[in-house]
Amino acid sequence: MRRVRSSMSTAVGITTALLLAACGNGSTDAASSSTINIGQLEDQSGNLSLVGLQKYHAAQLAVDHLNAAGGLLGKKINLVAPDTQSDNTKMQQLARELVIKDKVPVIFGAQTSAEREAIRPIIDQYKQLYFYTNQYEGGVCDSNTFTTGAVPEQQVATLIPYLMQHFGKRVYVIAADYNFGHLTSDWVKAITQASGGSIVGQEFVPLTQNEFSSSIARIKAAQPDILIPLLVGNDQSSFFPQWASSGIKNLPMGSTVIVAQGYEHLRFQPPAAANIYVPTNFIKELGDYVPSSKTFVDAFMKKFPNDPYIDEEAESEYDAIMMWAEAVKKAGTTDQAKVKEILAGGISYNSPSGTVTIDPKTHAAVRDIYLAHTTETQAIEFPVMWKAVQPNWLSAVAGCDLTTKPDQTQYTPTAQMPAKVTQELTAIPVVKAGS
Amino acid sequence: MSAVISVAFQACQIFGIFLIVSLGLSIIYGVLGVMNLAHGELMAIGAYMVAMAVNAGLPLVAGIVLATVLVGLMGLVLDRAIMRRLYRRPTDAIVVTFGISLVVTQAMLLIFGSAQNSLISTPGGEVTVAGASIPTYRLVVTLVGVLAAYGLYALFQRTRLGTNIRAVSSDQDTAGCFGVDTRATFTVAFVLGSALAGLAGALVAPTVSLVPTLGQGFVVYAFVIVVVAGERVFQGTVLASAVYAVLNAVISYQFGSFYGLLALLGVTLVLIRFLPGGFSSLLRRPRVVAAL
Repeated sequence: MRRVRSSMSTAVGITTALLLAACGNGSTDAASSSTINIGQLEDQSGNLSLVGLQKYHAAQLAVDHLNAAGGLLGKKINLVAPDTQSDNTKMQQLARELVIKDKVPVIFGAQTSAEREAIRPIIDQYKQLYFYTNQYEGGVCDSNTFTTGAVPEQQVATLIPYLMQHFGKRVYVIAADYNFGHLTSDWVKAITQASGGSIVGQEFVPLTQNEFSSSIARIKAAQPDILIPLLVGNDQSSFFPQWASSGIKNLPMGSTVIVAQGYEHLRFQPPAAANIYVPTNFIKELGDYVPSSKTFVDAFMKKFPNDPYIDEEAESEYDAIMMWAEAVKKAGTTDQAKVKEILAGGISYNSPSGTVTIDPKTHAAVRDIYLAHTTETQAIEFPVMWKAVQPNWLSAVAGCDLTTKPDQTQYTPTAQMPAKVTQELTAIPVVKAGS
Repeated sequence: MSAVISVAFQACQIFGIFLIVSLGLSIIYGVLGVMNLAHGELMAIGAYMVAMAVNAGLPLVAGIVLATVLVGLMGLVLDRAIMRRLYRRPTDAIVVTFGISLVVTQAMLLIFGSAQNSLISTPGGEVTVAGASIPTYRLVVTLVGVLAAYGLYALFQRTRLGTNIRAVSSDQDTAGCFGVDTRATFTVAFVLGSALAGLAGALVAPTVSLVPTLGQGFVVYAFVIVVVAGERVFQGTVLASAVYAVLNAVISYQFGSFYGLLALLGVTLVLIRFLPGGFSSLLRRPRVVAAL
């Protein structure tokens, strides 16, 4: 009896000591010190690092700009950005660390929808203010989440009618086999059918697949007018050089992620990434057309001269951080509840690519969308743009209204719903600045 | 008709590259009893070397030859430095090759970054038969695969070295009693297997995105093929590769590439259950020529 009790008390003693040590280490009380820590969760290594690194660098640039302008509330901003290594489990672990250990007032990040959905339960559990800064398949209606990336109302509802008007009605989709690929595919199908076209084939490909010979054979057999590749990650981008050597020339491709996210037009020899249409909020080449984009591009390349590209997600990340800073200034505090209130009130920000406004009902961003097109030589041109495209399927059709009803769901489209998204989408030509 | 030809072309493409990767893995497994978990990384090194060679100005063929030789030499270094201590410990050797694969992947990540930005393009156009087309390069790869297989066959059947390999893979101790230098045979097998991995990687380099993990997709298929090949290193592997290539091509064409892989795994489960000796047990008993 005595032996058991003494070893029990030793165990209790050691455990208490360890707990105290752990609690004492590394926890920064964001309010009382002279710096404000902000958290970022991005993949700086692994299959998704091609995009993750750009977002990480964009965050560093944003923090630099904010600190150069005097910081926030008189304090310097410090970026706490652990590497999530393209691993969903790491994502969850590091999200918990940022929330519980580092107690950051805001978290920015996640690239794939799988990553976002892996951490959203943690975000909601702790009512953590969170910005999702990637284009995605839409539908997230969450009181704690704000999104600055482009959504299908802005990318698919603009792209499909434009392509069908110019090229024909038979559409083939090849997509990554996870939630983003499936849901964006659903959007493509719904909008195609609503526009009078048909899906002549569809294939979902595992993320680690890099051999596409059978997929290419199936595409050729279906004889589509338009190909929609929704492929993600370094391995899946092998599709393009294989497609280029497969014998089909000039089949127009449309996507929400190719070129604007993984800069395939710079990584592959023509014609692998030629004739691709991508509606996007920003890409590096926009700097030749919009003066505010040029300023952003120049600043980015000055800080990171060896970076190969600045994609749509990097700019979304930058926008999110700057918008959060605006909200903090308005609120006079980093307190999460107060900042969320300001953000949800419909804050606006002049981003490098135009005005970005948070829609109070959905916490999504209303933004200008530019249609990027790669020529035969894989140079970029912008045939048209759409101004201030609303993410209104989520509010008008799915019934998301965070002003009256708190929510934590992701709504997904059924065949009917996106067809009812009828906002006037007028394409206007893009004019080069100074011409 | 064009669908049948298209599937036949797919099967050819898959067969060519599967064969080279599987033969390399099969030789190492047959002789050393080790599942070389670093095989995919050796492929990746071969691919990167070709890309570097071509970007430096060498013609593609020279680059491929160079890559094959260099990866073979790397196999020699690995064998001398690490594998020789594990000849009698195949289970430990598997863990060690896993460690090697981790080290190599991370080293490549550190040296080259996560994805190469300048890739080499696939040379040649395509061949069209009755409406179905196949890139000429893929046909060339298949041809190289068949030639490599034939070369290995000649090596195995007609040379003393090949006989030693077959003897050691069949029964290591008895071969040793007959005077075969088993340690040297192990080294040769590992070098040969590595060189084949390098060749496979070099051949796929113009067609895939260059990432350190590019070999892993191919190596999954190779593992499965080696498992069902059975004890006859050469004939079993060739037969298994051919059957699997056709199966994968047919299912992938009909249902998509995910189901193609699923079909292979499903068939493997069935084969292991009902044909434990693998495809080799369908062939006649081998005659091992005594190395006297």
